Amino acid sequence: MNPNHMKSVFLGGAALAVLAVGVASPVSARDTAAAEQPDSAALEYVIPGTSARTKAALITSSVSSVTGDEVSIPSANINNMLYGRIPGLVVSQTNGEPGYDAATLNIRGVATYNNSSLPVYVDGFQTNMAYFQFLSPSEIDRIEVLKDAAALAPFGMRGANGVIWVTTKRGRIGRPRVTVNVRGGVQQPMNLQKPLRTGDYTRLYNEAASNDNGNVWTPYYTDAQIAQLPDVDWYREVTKKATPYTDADVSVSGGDKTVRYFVLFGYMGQRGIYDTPTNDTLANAGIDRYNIRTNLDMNLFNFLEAKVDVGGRIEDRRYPNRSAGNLWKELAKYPSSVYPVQNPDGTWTGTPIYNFNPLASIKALGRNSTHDRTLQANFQLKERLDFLAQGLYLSEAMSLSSWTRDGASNTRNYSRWLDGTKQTTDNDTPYIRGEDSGQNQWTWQHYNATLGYDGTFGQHVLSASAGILYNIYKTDFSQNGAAGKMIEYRHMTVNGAVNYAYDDRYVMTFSFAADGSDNYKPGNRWGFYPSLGLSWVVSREPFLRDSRTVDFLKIRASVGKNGWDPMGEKRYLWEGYYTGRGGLNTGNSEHMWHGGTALSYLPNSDIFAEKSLKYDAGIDVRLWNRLGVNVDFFLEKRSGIVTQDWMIPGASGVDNPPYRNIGKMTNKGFEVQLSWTDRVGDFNYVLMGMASYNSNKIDYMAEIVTVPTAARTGQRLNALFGYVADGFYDWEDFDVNGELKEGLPKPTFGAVQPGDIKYKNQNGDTVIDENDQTAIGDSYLPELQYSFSLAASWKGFDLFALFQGAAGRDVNLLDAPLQNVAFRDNGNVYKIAEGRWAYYPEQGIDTRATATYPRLSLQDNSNNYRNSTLWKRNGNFLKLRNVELGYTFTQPSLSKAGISKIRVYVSGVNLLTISKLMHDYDIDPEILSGHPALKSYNLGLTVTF
Amino acid sequence: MKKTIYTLLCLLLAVGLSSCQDWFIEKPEVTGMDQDEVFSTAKNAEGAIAEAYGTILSSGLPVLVWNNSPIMPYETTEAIMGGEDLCRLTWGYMDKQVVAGMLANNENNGAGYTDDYFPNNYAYIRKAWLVYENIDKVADMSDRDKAVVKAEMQVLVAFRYVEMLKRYGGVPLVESTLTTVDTRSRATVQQTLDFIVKLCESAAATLEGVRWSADWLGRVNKGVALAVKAEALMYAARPLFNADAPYMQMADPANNEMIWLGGYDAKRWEKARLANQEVIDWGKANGFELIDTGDPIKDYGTAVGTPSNREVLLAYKQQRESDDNGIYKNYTFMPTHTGHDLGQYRGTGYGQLCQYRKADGTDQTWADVDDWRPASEYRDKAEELEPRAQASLYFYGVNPKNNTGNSRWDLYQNWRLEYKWQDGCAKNIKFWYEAGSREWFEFPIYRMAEFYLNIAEAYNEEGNPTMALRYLNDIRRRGGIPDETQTDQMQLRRSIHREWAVEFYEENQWYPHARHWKEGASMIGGAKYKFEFSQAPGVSWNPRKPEEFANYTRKPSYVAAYTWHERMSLSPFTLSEVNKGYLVQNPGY
Repeated sequence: MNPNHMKSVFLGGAALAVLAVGVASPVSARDTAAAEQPDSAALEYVIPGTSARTKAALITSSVSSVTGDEVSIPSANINNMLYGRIPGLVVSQTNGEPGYDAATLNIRGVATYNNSSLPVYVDGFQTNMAYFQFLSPSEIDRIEVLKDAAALAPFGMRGANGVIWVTTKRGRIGRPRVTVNVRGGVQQPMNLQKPLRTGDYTRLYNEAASNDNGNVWTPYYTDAQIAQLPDVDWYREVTKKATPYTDADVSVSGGDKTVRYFVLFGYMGQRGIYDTPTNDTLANAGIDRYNIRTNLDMNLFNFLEAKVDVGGRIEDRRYPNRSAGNLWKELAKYPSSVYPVQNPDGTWTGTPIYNFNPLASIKALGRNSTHDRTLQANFQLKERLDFLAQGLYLSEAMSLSSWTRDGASNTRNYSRWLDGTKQTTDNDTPYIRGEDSGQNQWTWQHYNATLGYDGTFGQHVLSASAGILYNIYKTDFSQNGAAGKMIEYRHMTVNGAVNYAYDDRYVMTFSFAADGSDNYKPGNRWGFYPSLGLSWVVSREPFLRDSRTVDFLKIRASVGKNGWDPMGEKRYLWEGYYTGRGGLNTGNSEHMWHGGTALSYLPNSDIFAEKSLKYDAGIDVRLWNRLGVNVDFFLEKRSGIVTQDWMIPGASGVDNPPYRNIGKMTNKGFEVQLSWTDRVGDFNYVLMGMASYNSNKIDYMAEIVTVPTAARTGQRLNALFGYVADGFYDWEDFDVNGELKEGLPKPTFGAVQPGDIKYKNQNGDTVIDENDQTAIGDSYLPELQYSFSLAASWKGFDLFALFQGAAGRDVNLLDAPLQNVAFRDNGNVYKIAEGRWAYYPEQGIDTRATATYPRLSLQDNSNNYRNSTLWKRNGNFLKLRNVELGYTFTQPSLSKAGISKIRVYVSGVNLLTISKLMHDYDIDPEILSGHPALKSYNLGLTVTF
Repeated sequence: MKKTIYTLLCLLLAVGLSSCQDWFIEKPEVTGMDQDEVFSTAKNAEGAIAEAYGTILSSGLPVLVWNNSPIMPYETTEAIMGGEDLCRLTWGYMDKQVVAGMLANNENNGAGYTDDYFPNNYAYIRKAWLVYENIDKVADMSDRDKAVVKAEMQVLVAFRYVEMLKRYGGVPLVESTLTTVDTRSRATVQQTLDFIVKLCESAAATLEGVRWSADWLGRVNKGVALAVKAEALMYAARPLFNADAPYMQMADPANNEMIWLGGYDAKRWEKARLANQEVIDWGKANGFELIDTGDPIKDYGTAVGTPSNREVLLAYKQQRESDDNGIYKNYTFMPTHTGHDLGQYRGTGYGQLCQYRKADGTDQTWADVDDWRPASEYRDKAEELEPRAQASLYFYGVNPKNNTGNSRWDLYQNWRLEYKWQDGCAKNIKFWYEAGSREWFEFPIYRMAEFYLNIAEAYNEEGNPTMALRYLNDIRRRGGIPDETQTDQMQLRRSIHREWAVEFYEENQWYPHARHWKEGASMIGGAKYKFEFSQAPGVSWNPRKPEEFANYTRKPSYVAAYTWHERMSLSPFTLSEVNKGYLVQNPGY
């Protein structure tokens, strides 16, 4: 491979180029796996959300999937295992704190500026993302991502953002099979972006002080003072080099014609990176997770089948009594020179400005812990009604799931001392024990009845089902707007699908949902969501049937409607709710207060779920028995996005306008997946590559456009707006009085001096003001996500490596002000500020020609710290998400011991990041600030009996 | 048979489920309160009434509103914009605003450089109309009580329209809670005036004989209805609206009547005078009058500082000590308050200081710019000033005269009386007469004294100086200064203007008057000064006691000069509202 070519790939821009050279991954998603066996007889694929079935090779919709075993890597959270695994699934991690590190998932990007969350279904029933993310990968059979209207129509008004459909493992007929997985290793921060140390800090501080003093060299610190200052690396004090990670599980499965079982017990333990012990009064961050699952299938009589699934889990988390958000802010903000770690007499240091000594935060404030319990229990019965009609059946199901949390704390405070003087009013206190019986708990109840039919008549295969689903979700988390707390979400669906195939060549799927939600006004509660999917297996046609080149070729297309009735948003917008606001005093010298009551927002009796119209066209190809190609193009028109209508004239007196279905967005893009499977002697390998591209646009959002060039409407969602930086002011821009010279546009954000950022005057007037803003960059959500992987085996050895990258994203460094805005609010200074503009010729400082950062200042320089191209950075990256090398023993001696195989392996997670931000400033392009993501090195063992 | 039973069962199941579908997804019980509940009982409806009062009466006051609209912070109070008070607040945008003059831009969350966030007016008026339209639904309330509530709401609406008339000229007239598809475009000044007068007259008739018991004091009575009308007619008579030509041409001159009454009419002064006379007459018959017992400091202090005194017809009472953003902390100096007082940054401007005469009626002179004089001279000159200055101002190093004998107001005992941050020449303590430790005050919205000055102004414009002097001197006499004798119309006008400045310092009269008298350039624009003090030798702390001050001098204020543009005669409508297309912007913006 041309090394230059590879380089451009690593720089992150050209995923398609990668695909063109045929790199790939063993994410043998169902699409390709199924594509290999078009003639398999069974209708093994159940269309999610219904009971209708089809052959996997004949699916008309756009669905991608991955198995639990495939994604299983030593990582605490399922979400974080999905990077680069499923075309169309956008995975973005924003926090690395153990227990709260789940990446955000989006399917085909985001097509709404409202709630864009994804519904998750486990074993057919909707549950919360929190339930999904801490499942053990060993209990998951398959994770499917439903992307197009044909796949999503049965989900009605829960479907528009896409659906994650998870099925857990089930027992198969055969002798008991026992699998033991154990793996463990060490985790480390992927990166620590550390500030400059005392020497550089004071040098730049002196410069900043001089800049603020009219550019007269007036250093704040003398050399003698600097020599006396502490020089603490707070990150090194607070964090450990490495921390352990372990997961282990045992599963037993098997069964006969009457009963089949799958039982799993799993454990995962992850420790944090704080250098503090875990005991009665202190805690390193950490989470322990225990999973149990029992899935039973029973054939009770010749016409009755039953399924019983129970999945339960306990999560125990513990943390120092200083939130990670605050602790990492303080680590970032406190200069190394503020004070030594501790006073010589052992008391903690601290000052009013730097109040929370970061080391004391993990060693002297106590601890917090939470205890979570989660349970999902499903029960399903299926009666075959062959006596009525061959292939007819009825099934009933119910499911309950719940989550509760309580917490305990053991906390104290400490007094802050410096130079023998007590610095704040904080005192050393005894430990206080606290208990919290919990909040934000939730339950789900589902009830379902389905009537279905499967029939084959010669070349004609028909499968159809119609069902009723009723569910209630209840949470005590206040997320319902003015409607209040502890409110149920009641939802009912009549849905189904008809799948018809002729000669395994022509396939048509009609699916639908009539969906009702309690969220809307009586008479306006139901929506109808139909979809139609067609596919044509061209390779079954006579002219291709005997081709040696084309093993399989399918063309498919779908169109249909979905809705979006978000959860966790304001509810019952058709009803006007009054809440407490201001009020009135009456009376004489003793006032009597009368609390005011005001309408929260104007009701809108027409309010309804968001609407989505989706088109999808795809092609699945397999050539030469080696090359797999899956391509999907999609277009989504989202309308009726619930939006507060600020276009209503103020004179109508509506201070809080009604929410209306007026927003519109368009989202379009494609997914490509390529794989190459081959062998050379004993060497088997699979190369795989995939790319998911989406581009969205806000078509209407009732935006009050104040600056036409900076209107959000017509732009990409979350596009970056601001000023175009045009270098820095220099001496010649000012007259002798320090005023900007005549003719130069005058910035209105505050006085400027040499070294401040000069902005481009967009509208040609005489001032730089908000009217000079414009769209300056992309969203932080990538337009393109791509991955490529290699899976290979040779004799007993196996190797797997997965790279994942993102492109078409920008980051705004001002989103991480503590790291990027030097000295402000007594803050710190980082490497990026070394590029500052400065001119002190007598001190030998003149960076004017090369400056990339404005002059330093100790003040809140409101001219410089505004969104502008100067703070915008390309957020593209490429990461080595997983690499694994294993060896499998299958010696006959093992089988004598009852062991069918043993595999040992070493693996690494997140070992490499290629990104300009990482290279230049040690910034993880995904996590600009806060708790960093973790990388890990692991050893693993799998024994199968 | 089995077949039939199953088929029937399936059918039954299907029919049964579909028929009770709506029952399954019925809205569950919620804890929120809907409109029917609000107007189900008198007690619940009280909340809606309170909301209408609390919001509508906050006009022009630095109230931080509770929702997420732009806030009207203390920096843009009219007392600062007009230069009565000066402020050395270095953040926010006060300084930019007084230098740039009013602008319709997107600063302050879209409110712009102005004195008002326009949409709030209608949001608040809507609250009054909501009560007006729904109060009849309340079960446990008499018809008479309901009629009174409706009349109160009419007066509140009229009051807010007067406030808008003063700021904007003609505005959209909204007579009910509009639906979201209704719009109203700008009315003319005349239409707006007629709308206000009609509301007041209708309400005044209903409010005849209504007297609120002590615990309900603060609600609207007939006097307030008459006062709103009197104020509206007074502004209609003043030169900005009542002139031969508008102060500026609208972009489309056909719209000039949105900012002007179409021509000068002398009769407007008479009409205004009669309306003001009606307020005074009603007041006398109903226990509201000028407090004049012959003790000027006490009389004036009581009138402006004592809650529910008999000179105040209507006050803004919605301050609570627990409310961290109450105007008592930001608007005026409250020496005993321990929280974060934004008020500590502001002080009385030099211009305002010079409005006060000496007690003998002659003018006082003060140190020139950069002319350092002994601080004792400052104190001596302060002591010479008229009683209303003593009741209104705390001169550095001179014990405040409005709380004598109270240790919290004694500069020898309360370190908070130190000279520290202030801009200006003294501190405004006007509303705290005999307040002691009380940490709230009532901002007077209508005070009987203003009707005297209104009548004096009208008589003078009508060419009747004798009657004008009679009403003017009622105020001067109560204030403890000699009578005015000037009969020349111009000179007398100036004298009346100065009386407004002294009597109504900090009461949101100066700024609108300057605009409507067309005196913006002289009354608002121009150089601003403060006094600066040096510490006595050996004093390293903020001086407070007389001996801790060394010298004082006059210096340019933090904002050295204010800008006046003709366009500022009326305020700009909020830009985002203009962009919606239903409003015609005032000229010059």
